[in-house]
Formats: sequence, structure tokens, C-alpha cells
Amino acid sequence: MRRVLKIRYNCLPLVASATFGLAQAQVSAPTAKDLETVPQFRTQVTGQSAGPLERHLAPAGMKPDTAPHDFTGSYSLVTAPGRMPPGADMPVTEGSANRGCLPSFVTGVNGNPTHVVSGRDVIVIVQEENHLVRRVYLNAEHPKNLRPSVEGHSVGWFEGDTLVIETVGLNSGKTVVERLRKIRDGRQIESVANGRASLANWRPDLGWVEDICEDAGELFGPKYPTRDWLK
Amino acid sequence: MSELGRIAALVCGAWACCASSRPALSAPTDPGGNSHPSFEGVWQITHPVSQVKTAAGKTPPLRPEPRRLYNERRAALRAGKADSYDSTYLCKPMGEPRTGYEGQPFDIVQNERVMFVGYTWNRMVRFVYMTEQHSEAVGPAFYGAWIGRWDGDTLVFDGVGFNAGTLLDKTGMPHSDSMHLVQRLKLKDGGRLLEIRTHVEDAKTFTAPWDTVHTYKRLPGAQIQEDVCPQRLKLTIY
Repeated sequence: MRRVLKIRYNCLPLVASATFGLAQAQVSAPTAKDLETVPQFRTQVTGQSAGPLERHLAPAGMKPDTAPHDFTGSYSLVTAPGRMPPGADMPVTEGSANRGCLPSFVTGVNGNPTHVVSGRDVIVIVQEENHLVRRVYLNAEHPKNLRPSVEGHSVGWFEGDTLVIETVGLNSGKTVVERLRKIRDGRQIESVANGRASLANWRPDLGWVEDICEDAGELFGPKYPTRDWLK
Repeated sequence: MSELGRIAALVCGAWACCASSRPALSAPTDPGGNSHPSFEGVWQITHPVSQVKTAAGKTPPLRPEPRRLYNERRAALRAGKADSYDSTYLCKPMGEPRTGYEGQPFDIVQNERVMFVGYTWNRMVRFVYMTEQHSEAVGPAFYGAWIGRWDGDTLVFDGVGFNAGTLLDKTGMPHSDSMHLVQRLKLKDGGRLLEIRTHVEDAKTFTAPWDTVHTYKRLPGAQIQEDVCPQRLKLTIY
């Protein structure tokens, strides 16, 4: 923990504050305590398992958008603080688990708050943690000679009201197929990937909150931290 | 008319004829079905910017202390020590509007409720909520907090709540956390070009508000490629 006390910089990751209206990142001078709020480092710094982020449910009276092909909105995973919804499971993931601020591949709409924008030709799915960005190109084909990457290349199409996403070009070489659909009158998104399901709650009161892992990286010296370094 | 003038008129006339016969690329409607032009797609600045200038081509009107700081940074840049003031060398975000300036493409995904702007550079993003008022709980954030509206066929983005740790350009043009940006996005040349006029208000840094204008070309069929800055700059052992 000695290196943590050598904090010398003046930028930092977030302390998210959810208020009625759009929640935004709150950024101030970093302290050792702040490191505990950085999802990537919470486990290493506190020694505690990183549980699901606690977020409030959508306030009563707010109506979701029920248009089945428009997934635009903000979503979070848990239905109540500290509890996973019944039947929920972890998404398919691969990659660094955000170690060294490297991105991960995470399916569906789940986990950290996730923001979706449905456009005409592309649906973008963005997880707040470490700004993981996936682009799903609608009714398109995978390019030839695809260079493997963390997020791979995703194309999507609708089967009725279900968005089917096929992702190839992952570093693992695997192909992942996901099926997303709005359920409960648009209040939740169900994501099923390779037989694993997760649910996410529609959260109209949440806006995008910056989570810049790289901002905390400098606090640990010239190289981004490893688990061993923090011992 | 001189011979040169006649030739110029011929060339311009020919170009205008050809340009007008090319189909417009902007879709008549946005994904929400409204009759707004579509800004959706991948864009790239036509002339990359190292040093931001006002619309009149001048250096922005800095206050004395920010000017001193800026001059120091320019000296450091000339000495090859840009990393002494530019935190992007540590993969910290470039911020707005700089991220679109240096030549890497970005995309816009358009929805009537929220617009998404996604940069190549280290997967940086902006969400512009098509609503009337900023939230009370805002920033500072590297990319600020944005709301948007339509003004006819022009998209207007309004940003506040910026983290003062970013720079307006590669040469180290500073700004404060009081910066307020208003960007007017307009499609030109049948949707092939995007003009962004950025109005900068920052009384802590500049003696007066100023505008800067840049043009971006649409890249049909292009897709944003993945960029992982810590890996690219070898800042991580992973």
C-alpha cells in the first residue's frame, strides 16, 4: 500500500452520484480512498470482492420506450442493492478483465451500467467501466481479413423483436452469438449469449458517467498496476 | 475576362455540373423517423489541426497567465518535450474538441433521444442527450456533459462541466473548468462534408469568447477500428 500513499496527481476517476435527472461523473483530486471507487482496482485495494454496483431502480411513474427495435437507453444489472435478479448469470467475457486498463469483451447489456444508442445502421453498446465500446452493424457482413481485437466485429439483425448479434474476430478466435430483447414492457433487457442469460434494468434516470481507468493508472507509477505490485 | 479567368470559369462550371449530378449522401430522415438529416456515419477531419485557431485564423485571445503557460508549453513542444504538459502521453483523455482534430476518424450514431459520438482514440465517447437542460449534477469530466437540440437542419451540441486537465490542441492551448462549448453541426455538399463551428466561452482563460470552424469528410463504408492506448504506448505489461 506504500505506493498508494505516493499519490501525486490531480485528476481521477469517478465517484458516481445518482440523482434524479442525469447522473454524471464527479471528478476531484484523488485520494487513496478514491481508488476504492475505481472498479478496476477495488478488489486489489480493498481486498474485498467487487460486488454489483448499487443502483436505484427506475423511479415509479417513468414509462420506458416500448419500441421493440429501439434499445436506446441506460441500463444496470441489479434489481435491488447487492442482489442479482433471479435467473441472472454472468455474461460471456474474455480479455484482460480491465487489468492494466486494457478493455474486455463482455456480452449483452449487463454488469456495469451500460448505455445503448440505436441508430439507423448501427447499434452502439457502451459499458461505463473502462469505456468498453461495441458497435453492432445492422444487416451487414463481417469484413474479410479481419484483424483480431478485444471487441471483435459484431453484426446484427432482428428476428421478430429479438436482436441477434454475431461477433467474430475476437482475440480468442471464438464466435459469440447473443440474443437481446426487451421484456416487461421495456423495463428490462434480456441478454442470452452462448446459453448464459443476464438481465438488465432500464434506468431512464441515469446518464453516461465517465470511468477513465487511465486516469488512475498514473497513480501507480509509470506502468499500470499488476496484482503483484499491490502486495 | 482574362484567359486564366475563362479557364477557371470553365473548370468551376464543370465541377459544379458534376457535383450537382452526384446523389446526396445524407438520408432524408433520422432513425427516429423525424425529418432531420442524418449525421450518422464515420467522419474524419479534412485538415488535421495541431494548433487551434479562431474562425478568423488568429490565436485565441488568452489572458496573461494562461498565455504565459501556453508559451511555456510551446517552448516545451519545440524542445521535444510535449509529454511534460500533454497527459495524453499517459493515455489520459484528449478531451473535446481536440479528439477530432488529429486525424483519427470518429463516428456519430443518431437517435432522436440521444446522439453518440465515438472516437477512435482509445475508445473515447460522448453522449449528447437531446433534452433542454443540463443536469445539476455535472462533471467535471474529461469530455464534459452534453445536451443537444435541432435548429432547423443544424445540430446544436451544448457542453459544460469539463475537466481542466485536457488541452484544446497539441500545442497546449489551455482551458479551465468553466469552459462552455456550443457546437453547431451542419452537413454540406450533399452530406459528404460536416462543418462543426465551435463557440468557446471561458472567461477564466480567454479575454473574450471565440469561434473555431473545422470541416470533416464522411468516410462511406468505414468502421471505427479498435485503439487501446495503454497497449499502443506500451504503458502496461499486459
